[in-house]
Amino acid sequence: MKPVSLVGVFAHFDELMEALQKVKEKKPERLVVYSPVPHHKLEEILEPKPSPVRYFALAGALTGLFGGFGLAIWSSLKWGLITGGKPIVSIPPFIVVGFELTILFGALATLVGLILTHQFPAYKIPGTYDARFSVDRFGLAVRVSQEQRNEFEAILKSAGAEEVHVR
Amino acid sequence: MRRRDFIKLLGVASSASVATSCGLTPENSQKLIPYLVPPDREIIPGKGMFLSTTCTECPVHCGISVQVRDKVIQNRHRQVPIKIEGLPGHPINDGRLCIRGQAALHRLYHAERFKQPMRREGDGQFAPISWEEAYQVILQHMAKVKSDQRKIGYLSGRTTGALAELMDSFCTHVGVEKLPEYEPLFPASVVNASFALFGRKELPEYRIDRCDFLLSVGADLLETFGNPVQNSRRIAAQRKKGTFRWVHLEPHVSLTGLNATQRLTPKPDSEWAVIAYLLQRVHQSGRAKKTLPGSVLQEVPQLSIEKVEELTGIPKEKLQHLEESFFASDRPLTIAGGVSTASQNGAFLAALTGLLQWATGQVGATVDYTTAVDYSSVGSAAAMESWLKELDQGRIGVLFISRCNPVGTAPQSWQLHHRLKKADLVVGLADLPDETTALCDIILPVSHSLESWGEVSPRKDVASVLQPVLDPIYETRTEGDILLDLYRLELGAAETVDYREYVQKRWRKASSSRDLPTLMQQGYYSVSAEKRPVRLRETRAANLLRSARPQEKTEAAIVYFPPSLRFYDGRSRRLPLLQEIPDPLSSVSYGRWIAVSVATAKRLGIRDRDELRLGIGEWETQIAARIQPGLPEGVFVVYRDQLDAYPVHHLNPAGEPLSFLSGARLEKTGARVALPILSGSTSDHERGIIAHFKEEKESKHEPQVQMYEPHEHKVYRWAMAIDLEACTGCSACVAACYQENNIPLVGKEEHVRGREMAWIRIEPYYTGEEAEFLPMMCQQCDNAPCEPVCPVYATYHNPEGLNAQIYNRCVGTRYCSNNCPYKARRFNWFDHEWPEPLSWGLNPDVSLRNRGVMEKCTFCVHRIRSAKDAARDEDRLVLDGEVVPACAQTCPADAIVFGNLLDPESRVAKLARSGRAYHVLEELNTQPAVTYLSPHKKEGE
Amino acid sequence: MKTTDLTYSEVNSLVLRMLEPPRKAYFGILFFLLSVVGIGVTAWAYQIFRGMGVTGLNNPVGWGVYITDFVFWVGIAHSGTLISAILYLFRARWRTSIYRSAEAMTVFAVLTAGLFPLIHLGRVWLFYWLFPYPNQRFLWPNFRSPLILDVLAVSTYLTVSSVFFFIGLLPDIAAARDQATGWRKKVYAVLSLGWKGTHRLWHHYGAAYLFFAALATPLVISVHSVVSWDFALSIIPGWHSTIFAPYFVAGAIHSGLAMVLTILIPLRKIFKVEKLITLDNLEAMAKMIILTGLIVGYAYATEFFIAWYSGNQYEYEIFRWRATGDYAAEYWIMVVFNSLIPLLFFVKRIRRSVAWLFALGILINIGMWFERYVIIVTSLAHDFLPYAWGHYKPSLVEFAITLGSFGWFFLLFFSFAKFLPAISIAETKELLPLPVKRGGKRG
Repeated sequence: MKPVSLVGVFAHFDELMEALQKVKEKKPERLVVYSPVPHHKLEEILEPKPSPVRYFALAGALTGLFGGFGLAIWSSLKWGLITGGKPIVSIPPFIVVGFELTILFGALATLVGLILTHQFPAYKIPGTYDARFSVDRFGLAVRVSQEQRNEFEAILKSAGAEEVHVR
Repeated sequence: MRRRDFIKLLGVASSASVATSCGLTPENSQKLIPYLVPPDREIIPGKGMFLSTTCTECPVHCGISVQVRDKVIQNRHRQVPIKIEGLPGHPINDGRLCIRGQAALHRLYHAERFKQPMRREGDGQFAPISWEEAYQVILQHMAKVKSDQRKIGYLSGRTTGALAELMDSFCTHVGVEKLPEYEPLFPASVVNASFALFGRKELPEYRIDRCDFLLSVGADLLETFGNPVQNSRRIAAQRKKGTFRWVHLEPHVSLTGLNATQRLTPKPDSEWAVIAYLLQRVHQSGRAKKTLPGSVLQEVPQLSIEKVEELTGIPKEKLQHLEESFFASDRPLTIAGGVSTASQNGAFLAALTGLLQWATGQVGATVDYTTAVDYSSVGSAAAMESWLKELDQGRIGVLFISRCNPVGTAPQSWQLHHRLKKADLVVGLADLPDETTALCDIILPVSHSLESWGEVSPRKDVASVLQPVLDPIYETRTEGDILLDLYRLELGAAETVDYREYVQKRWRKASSSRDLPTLMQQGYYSVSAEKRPVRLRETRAANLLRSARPQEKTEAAIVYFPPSLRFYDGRSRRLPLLQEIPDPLSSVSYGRWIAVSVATAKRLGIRDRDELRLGIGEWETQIAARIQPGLPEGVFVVYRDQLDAYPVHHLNPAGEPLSFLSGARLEKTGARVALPILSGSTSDHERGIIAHFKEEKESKHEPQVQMYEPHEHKVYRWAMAIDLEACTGCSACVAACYQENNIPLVGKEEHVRGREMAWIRIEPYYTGEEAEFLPMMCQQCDNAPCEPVCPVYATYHNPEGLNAQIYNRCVGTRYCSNNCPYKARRFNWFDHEWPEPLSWGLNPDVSLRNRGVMEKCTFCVHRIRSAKDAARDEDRLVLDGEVVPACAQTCPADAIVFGNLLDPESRVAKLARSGRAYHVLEELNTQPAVTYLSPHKKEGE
Repeated sequence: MKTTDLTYSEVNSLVLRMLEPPRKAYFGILFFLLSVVGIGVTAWAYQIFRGMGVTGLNNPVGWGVYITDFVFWVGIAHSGTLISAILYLFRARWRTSIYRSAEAMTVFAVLTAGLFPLIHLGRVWLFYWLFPYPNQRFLWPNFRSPLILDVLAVSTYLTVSSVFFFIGLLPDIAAARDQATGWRKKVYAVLSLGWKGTHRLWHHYGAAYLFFAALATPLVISVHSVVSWDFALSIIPGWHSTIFAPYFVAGAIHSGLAMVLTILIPLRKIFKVEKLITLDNLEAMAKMIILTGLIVGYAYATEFFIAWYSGNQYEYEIFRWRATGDYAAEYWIMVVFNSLIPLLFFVKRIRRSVAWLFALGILINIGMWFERYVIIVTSLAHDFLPYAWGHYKPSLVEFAITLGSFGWFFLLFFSFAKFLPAISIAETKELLPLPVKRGGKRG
């Protein structure tokens, strides 16, 4: 028996949260909340552990730092040209190189991290999505087996879903 | 076609092409090539070949060594000159050359040179004709003129040696009247005096090297008077001795004056009083080595020192000081000339000077007539009157004018503009168009001296040879050949020699001992001049003094028209290079200006670049103002070469046109002129850029605190020492640098925008009345500010201490130039044009720079390179003095010394250790490789 | 009326209305801007073809209007990042409605600024030599050169701020996608990267956004410091000064805020979004301008004091000359417009009057342009060797290219305002109270 996707459309955040609490206890196969705005409550309930993006940021930044100094020093030594009587490896200007590359690589790595954790770009719009979710409606989509269907539909309704669609 | 035929053809074709590319063309196959370097050498492409000949930019006639390169021009090998240097060992200049000599190639390669004979058509325009036609026209007119008993006149600039001889015989045989030679800067008063006093129509050689005190009156020893190269070299040498004093009297301001130990500015035309005073003091104090006869002495005005003070305006103490130092010396040399003798009382001044020289026993010692310059054939302006009258009356039918520009330079009173029209035919022999050629009917283009055989005698005792260093560029002929042609055509084929054979025959006669190639290398041979002792001619001396009584009237608002360092009497003013190089006093390059004294400028509210209306009598002109420190109040200066006609009418008793006009009217037109003044300020604002020498002590630099470990140089650190005591600011180095390094000439507009390209420049810095001249070029700093700012390493510090500039790596951010405290770097704002034949003179050892890249002085790195190659071949180090940059090579004062700083015994290292050594902007700790030697403070007014 | 009285859907419609297909007037302006750009491009082409001589530059003044423009535009960029990143970290709520356009301004300003180092190159066709790219001869740039540091800083800045800008846009593009139809929908769909506002997206997105902000903040400070070191690392009196980094950063933000005013005031009028970009927002910026203005004024004073106090004759001479010499006019424009005019904002009536804000904003922009001009030109024209002192007068070509750069900047911004949400929808909603049933306003 193939499972079905239910989506409840909510106008109010507190109703959404209520539904969310109930649904979560029932441990559905899959549970997605659509929201026009981010909210920390959602994260507390659904994503307790911090995002891995930060590791990307750190790795990138370090690469940039060492890469920057490395490049500057190595390339200066390559020809060893004296300019202005300064030492071949003159650290003060190289600090800037190191710093800028730290930022650059840090930012790029963060972007990469974001893309990976999002499975970006994911152009396929799931059936449970609704254009109003980018305006003023919240959506709670669950994946349940046929027999649980009615039970979940009831939960959503009772929580105050304006509509419940089956997709 | 069969394969074999094809290959045959191929072989033929290729061999043919090889043959043609060998350059075995008639032009350069038959050619006598006497080398300065051993004659057994063949032409090696890429190596210079040095030919000795003589400079003809002015009558001084320095010996020159011309570097000739083998180039492919228009698909044909040609030997072309790329650089001129003084000829070592030549008695006139011994290896040194002035700014004009350095620029001679710009005359040779000048775009406006007459390329073939020309004839004026009915419409007044010139049309090219063939030599034969030209000769026909001339001969026809000559025949006609002879038939109706009129004259044929031959007017030329000063002519000596072989040409003089040929000209005389030509004139006598062909029936041409040789007119007195015309030389605009002929020091008539001085020559006239020495003729009256000592019976010599000569300008003696002034042996500054033998005197211990020099008193010069008006004579611009460093610009045009006598032999400037020799003068500045001797003065510099004397200065090195330390005891030498040099007092210069001049009514205006000149480079010479600013270089003297003490410069006194007497009122215009009152100089004679000082000499008269000294002369009588010599006798009263019984210091006279040779007492003057009473008849002469009584003609010398008796002046009290107060009277002299009143006449000259020179304070008493100064006069006393002058008197003391004059008597303190035992070989005091007095020289009068220039603007001071080219004046109403100039004849009298010259006479007094001659007498003073005699009385102090200097005639025969520091005033040497055995090596004098013979002026017997040159006519004073007065001497011209007779033939000018004849010309006016139409009694001169045909007039030849050769190598001179009377229309542009002679006094207005000559009225040549309409007088020349009275001749049926005026034949001009010239290389460049000027005011005179504009009035000629026929123009015969004369070959440049570098294209000519010839011989001149710069001094009685010296004959200097001319030999061609390249084939004539155009259909030109030497004056000698022209004379010989006319000679032949007029008198039937009597003489069939050409001028080359003519002079060579003469040489064989003159110097039988020496073979031709050796003579060609040496560049001159000495002539035995008669040594009869000089005696004073009492009565004539007295007569001269009587006839030339000085006038004591003092004039106001006087404008002097002195000759200029750059353009001589104006003959060089069309040479682009000389216009590009600024006048060292005013730092103005292009255009015309009048020098206004600081006081006058303040009084009349005149600023630099104001347009002024200058009027004297009916003569009037618009001219830009340039404020000139050191110029006395009420005196103005306009270089005579900046006038298209010499506005003076009046001659002095010696028949010399005056060098000034009085009663000048000056007012602002309100307009501003775009006058390229290259100097941002005439003062150094107490920045110690000119560090005047205090007292002798071992090197004054304390080792500066270095932020980083100083990098060490392995074998060489190239360095330069410039002695500001010796440097006169004559700018010869600038010209040499331009020519050596292919520096583009960018023209007036770019100069106005502040984009001159000179790698070395002369910076005048005035303090009150005095000036010092600072040659400034890339200082090749050890801690060069220009290097670290370059994003692409286009400039860096090479192991030999050079601040290398890599043109093809440069992207043109111009940061290096911004960050150079000496502003020695030059940016190529546009691509530069080298029109033919100017491009022939490019130095193949120095790459041309295209637009968008930075360039600067390289210490003539290509010369260093070749010296190192030579050293490596003999596997040794480069010897001291083996590398000589172009600027140092030509410096007449020997102020620039180049060498290896790591060799403690090298000249440059010794100078860098001297107590006078300092660096410009030392406090910036750029550690320059250029050390300046501080000058002694001038004594000033 | 206040922003917080709006509903979510009102926010959407207000913002997305800006994206409705443009009217004739829009295309008219677009064409005008294009032709201005055209003028600049032609001038540049001419300059490349003939050589740098077509400018007024010379020896000693090797830098002029181009470097002035460069510093000016980089400066403009800065306030954008300040508003979007720094104020984000400080949770300054008033930034929300304006940060999007400020950020756009940043990106476009850097895109404009980035042109000038190329324009001023003597041999622009070799510009890539300035970048560290591997090549077989190991010809690397000179990392000791301030210009290379500058290249790194500016290119990093461009990259990071564009990324930051784009990421910030994602939810709004999605919103636009959900509204739009036809080809626009397709384009937005692609640009949105398939944003669906799921809780996981929001989760990672928030983290990433925080990091971007955290990275951009030191970056923005560093970039203008490095730009200032283009001068401070030289030895030229008037450039060689330790005060430059903070002085330039303050100046940058000063000019940037002024530019934000110059842009937003017409924008909110044209697109009728006064409800979102409220007078309070503008006033808040005016207040910041007072601060930056004071800092800049203080810097001017310090420079002068040090020039006198240091006893360094070169330093002293250059500042004396700036105030009294050939460039006195430019100098006093800079002093008055940048440090005195902003003080007018102390008057509440002025800082709450749109007209005043707009006018003074423009004056400050002019003043800040002249600040850079004075610093660059006078110092070069009047340095160590008196003989080498010179004078610089910009040429027509330089003027045309500068004009073109303004055209280019406004062209970019103008197209952006019509095509992408110029005000953040999502973040504006965050400002509004959450729609809740119990205790909520709406039922």
